[in-house]
Amino acid sequence: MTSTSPAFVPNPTIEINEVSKWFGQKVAVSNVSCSFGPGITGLLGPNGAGKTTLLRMMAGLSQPSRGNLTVLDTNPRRDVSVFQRIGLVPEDDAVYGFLTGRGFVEYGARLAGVKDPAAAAAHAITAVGMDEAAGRAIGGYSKGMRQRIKVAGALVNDPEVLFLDEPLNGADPVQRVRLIELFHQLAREGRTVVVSSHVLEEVEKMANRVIAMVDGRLAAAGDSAAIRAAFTDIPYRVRIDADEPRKLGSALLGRDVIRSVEVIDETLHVQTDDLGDLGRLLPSLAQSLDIRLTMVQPEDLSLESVFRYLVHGR
Amino acid sequence: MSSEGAIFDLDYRRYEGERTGRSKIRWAMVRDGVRKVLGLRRRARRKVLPWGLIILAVLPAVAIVGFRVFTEGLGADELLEDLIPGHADYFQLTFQLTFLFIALSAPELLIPDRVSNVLTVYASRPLTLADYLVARVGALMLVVFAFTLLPQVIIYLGGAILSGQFVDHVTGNLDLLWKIPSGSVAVFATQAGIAFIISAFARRRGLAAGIYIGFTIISAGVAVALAENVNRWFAVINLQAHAIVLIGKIFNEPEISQDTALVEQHISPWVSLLVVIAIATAAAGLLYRRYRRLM
Repeated sequence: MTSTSPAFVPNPTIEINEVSKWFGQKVAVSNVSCSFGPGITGLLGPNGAGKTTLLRMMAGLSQPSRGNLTVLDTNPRRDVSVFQRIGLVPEDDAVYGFLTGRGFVEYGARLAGVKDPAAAAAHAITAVGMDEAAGRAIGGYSKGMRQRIKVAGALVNDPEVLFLDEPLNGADPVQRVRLIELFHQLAREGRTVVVSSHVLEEVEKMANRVIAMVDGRLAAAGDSAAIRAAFTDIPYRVRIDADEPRKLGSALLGRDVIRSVEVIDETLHVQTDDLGDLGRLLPSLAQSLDIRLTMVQPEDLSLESVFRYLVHGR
Repeated sequence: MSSEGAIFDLDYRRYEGERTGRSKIRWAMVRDGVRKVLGLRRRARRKVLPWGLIILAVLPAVAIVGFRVFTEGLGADELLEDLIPGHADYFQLTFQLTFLFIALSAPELLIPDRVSNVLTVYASRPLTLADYLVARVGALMLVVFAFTLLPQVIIYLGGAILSGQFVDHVTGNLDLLWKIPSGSVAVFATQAGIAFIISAFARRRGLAAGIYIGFTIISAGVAVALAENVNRWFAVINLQAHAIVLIGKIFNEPEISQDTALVEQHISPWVSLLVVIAIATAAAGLLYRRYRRLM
């Protein structure tokens, strides 16, 4: 894989070079090379794909079995001082139930070497909208509140690189929106944010770049549309709403750009190898046939579709 | 009133203050450990056992000083010197309290971090595994030292004040300044290693404390039985006896350990020293090995 591949970014903050990780006979991550830079990158994969293992290695929690990995030009397993510049929201609860939210975040600030832990904790708690509940014991928090206090704990040392493992678990819709906006803001400030999630819709809202893993290997990299475009052997599926779908379908069938036509519930679904050609053809054809088009929408540009192709091949 | 309005940014504001060094970070962990051991910032029932044991350990020292104040001038000083426990006796007197304190505290320091997955929090901070373990063990050592030293200091200063010749008393007993802390080290090193090892594997605090207490009591009984019936060297299995023997050696009062199987089997105090060093070293190695897999 070359450095011009979409798996690599210019000015990376995290560099992964031929990294593998195995546990006994089980290979969890196999020869992965990629890099991460400022902005939000989604780390995707089905259960067992190796994304949490890769995230843990990036966050310095686990040593690669082979290959090398640097964060901010430092191997986090060799120089722990780099952890002053890293934040991690682990998937596990990882909180003391008896501590108050504020106490937990302040303790995290002390452990990160923040000189004014109270002030830093106050900022981080406000950022996640937990001011009112910060004085209560975490043991009484809902799942979403625990998640937000963990995010505050990760932000309290003002990290340049932030690792988020399923960060929106349990958060209510309003808080999801707020947290996503917060992550966007952190990315705009030039931080590197790596989000591992199995909720594709959330990753799509958060990440402008995706690293997808399947069976421990790097399956795809780039934005979802670019990854979709790379599947040249799988035609695009397009939904077309028109007042005379069967007539339009018949006319489209004879065109080279069309692979197949289906009418389901009076809605036309076509498969094409070239969205651009179809986009140019449709208006003129509809006009010549006196058909009114009400909607034309690609059906498989979403991350979910891309992911389905990656995992299942179709 | 001004007609101008403003919208303020309520979003994330980054911390731009200074950062501390690793020594401060380690100290933050030690303080956290001390709080856990003493039940500080916890519910009242969490404080009952540690503080109850501390009060029980200190109370006799206060009573001794009070008794000496009460009996001063009665002309029975020599008789009282024999009756009132000295520093070595006091270690022996509070030994079982220290044992219980360690049995309860070591699990409190290690198990919740592991069971609640909080080790991830420590692993993602600028701390090494050694920092974590040293801070956890150091927290208990600090409290156990306070636990054992406080009553000794009360007796020491009480004796100095009551002697009427404070300076002479202090200068005449300067050796206590190393003997008392050495006694605390002997007590801690003998007992904490096993307690930490059990806590590194157990998932419940009560179970860990129970296993440690049971192991200590049973090993003491087994040591005596095997030493008397099989081979005298089995006496070294009685771990608690080593601390008593060492305290007797440190204070040059071997009589306090005369009832132990070690003395009865004529095993040298140097063997006790070796055993204690071996236990502490093995415990440190096992703890490191165990936590290297976890962090």
